[in-house]
Amino acid sequence: MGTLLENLETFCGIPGTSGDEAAVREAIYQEIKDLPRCTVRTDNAGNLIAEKAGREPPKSKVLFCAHMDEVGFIVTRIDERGFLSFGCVGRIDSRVVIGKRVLVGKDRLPGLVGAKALHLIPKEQRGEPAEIGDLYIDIGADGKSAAEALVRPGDRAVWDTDFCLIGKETAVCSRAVDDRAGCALLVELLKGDAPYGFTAAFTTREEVDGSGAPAAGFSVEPDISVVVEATSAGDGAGVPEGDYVCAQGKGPVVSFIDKGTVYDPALYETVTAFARENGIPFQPKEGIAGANDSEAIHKSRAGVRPAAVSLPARYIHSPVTTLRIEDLENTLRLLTILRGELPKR
Amino acid sequence: MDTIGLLKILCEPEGTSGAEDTAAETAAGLLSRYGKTHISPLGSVICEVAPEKNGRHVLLDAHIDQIGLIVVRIDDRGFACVRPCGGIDRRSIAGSSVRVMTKSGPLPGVIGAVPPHLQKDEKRENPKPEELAVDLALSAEEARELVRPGDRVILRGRFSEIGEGYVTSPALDDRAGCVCIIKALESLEGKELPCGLTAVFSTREEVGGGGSRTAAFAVRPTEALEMDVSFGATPDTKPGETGEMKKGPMVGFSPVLDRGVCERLAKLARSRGIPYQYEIMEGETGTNADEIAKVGAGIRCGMLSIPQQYMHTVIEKVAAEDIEATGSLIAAYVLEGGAD
Repeated sequence: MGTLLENLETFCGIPGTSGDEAAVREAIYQEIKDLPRCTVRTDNAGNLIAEKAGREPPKSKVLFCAHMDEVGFIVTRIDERGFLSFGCVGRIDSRVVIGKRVLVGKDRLPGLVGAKALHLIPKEQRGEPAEIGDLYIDIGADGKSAAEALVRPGDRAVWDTDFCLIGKETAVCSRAVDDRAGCALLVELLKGDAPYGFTAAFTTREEVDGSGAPAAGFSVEPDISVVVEATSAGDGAGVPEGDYVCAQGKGPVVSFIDKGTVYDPALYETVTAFARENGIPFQPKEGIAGANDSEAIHKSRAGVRPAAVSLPARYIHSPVTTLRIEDLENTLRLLTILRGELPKR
Repeated sequence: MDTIGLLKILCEPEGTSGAEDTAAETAAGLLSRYGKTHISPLGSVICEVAPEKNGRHVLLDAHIDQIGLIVVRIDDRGFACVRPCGGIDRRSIAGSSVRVMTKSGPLPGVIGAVPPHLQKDEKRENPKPEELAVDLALSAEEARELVRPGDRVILRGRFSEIGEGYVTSPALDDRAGCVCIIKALESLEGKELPCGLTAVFSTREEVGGGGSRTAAFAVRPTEALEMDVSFGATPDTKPGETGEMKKGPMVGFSPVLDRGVCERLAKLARSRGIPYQYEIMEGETGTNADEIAKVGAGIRCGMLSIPQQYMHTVIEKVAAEDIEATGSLIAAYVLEGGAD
């Protein structure tokens, strides 16, 4: 059984763009299938749903939720010379795509995202961001038939960046922190002995249309949902403090609103109170940005009270998303408390 | 040694312009079997293969430096602010894993990007290097202890073979040229040379060409061949704008280059069945040939370019067979060279 960090590294190592999460699901399944009092199933939307029985039945049914999918690319066409046209799966800025290595398809074929040399572009146009439709993946094939033997339209690609530690081993860096970090945390919650029963859902397609989560919300019928998601820490270089939204090193991010969900005010108070009482650093999400699976789940059936406990990650949706390990650990501490307390309410 | 093996050995060491020491050491190790090898005051590797003979002395030059970034300061939050060191492709920097080459060794970091969720509706532009910074996941104090202004930053890439006989690596510009020269020296080994021959792997090409100019002054050749990479065709280039991959070296013709040397290169390629293509330039070549031609009382220069895709990014790509063809053409020129 892997530790939190080992699982994070394993899960980040597996390509799994939206709608193509099977390999990630399998890795998580292997990690949780033999856990005590844990029943695991996969639904038609591809969600992996784990029901954990506790020492006592819960008063409120709590659903913890993290998404398995990641942003990436989808091959749309193979041209006569063997280059691959592609589209983005999820929101990707075209300015983090040129000059990056990618892994294409199930066999993880190496590819290069190219563009004509900057030297060949008139000086006054060099600042203009590329359109994704004008870029291509080069797999080193000479001609269409050579490429077709290796790749098919519909195949996925992800950035080929290694999982690594930076700083004084203070932060992890990977393309897929969003949201394999949430997945790794849910696996921790499922381990050991839970005071009350709860459900963990590893969802699909969050980065595209969010169509995995509503299926989970419907079948699980929770009273409360806690989405555990990597969220954008805007505290990069040169950004004024007022634009951070949230920052690294300040603990889990608790949301009262984002672009998809107005969170349950009483739950927000409860979650932050638990953090305060237990000396766990936390930060409110100070801005209205992003959305997560809460958007769909809170509208399930007769309604679900939503909460979100997020991980402040920098450079989300780029090849080099970073997350401080202390933030990961503090989030786990807070979630562990919520696992014991929320079902009582 | 096989071409891909040589490329791997030469591409692995990092060497941004003005900080080529490690790469130069590796190169010197490879060159020393072909002649007396030393390092010039500006760091270029000079290998004297044979002294001047029959009034001819050929200089083979390729540059050993690669593009990168240079740290100018550490800000109060521990970010290392950078500037370009050579003409790095500004479109390829954001979202990169990097290594800061510090006194105490390489330090990992990232150059991030504002995620789409947090972008404001202001005009989108490709960031300039000076608008970016390396996130070291360190406090300002920790960062200042480890990183000094002047330290170089290399975007992380990977050497690998890709597809049908291609190689990709961050440093192919111009380690590919260096390998062409080594391939030529390999095939000339043990042969009686009709002329003097010196190989130079020069420094600082990406920042003004000081390495080759000074090495050429020291060597005083009668003629020089410059081996550098040039643009290879991609789906978004126009016909005629670039060379084609796997069609052999691009023989340069330019007002700066010596017409006779260039004609001779093309003629030799034809007669030996070495694939080649033309690269016609209207003025300067943008390579060390521009520098070398002007040294002393003037040096007659020819130029062979290896078609390369994705120049000045970490995914530069060349075809091994183009390097081999270039090596063969260089060797042919040394044996039967001179102006036509």
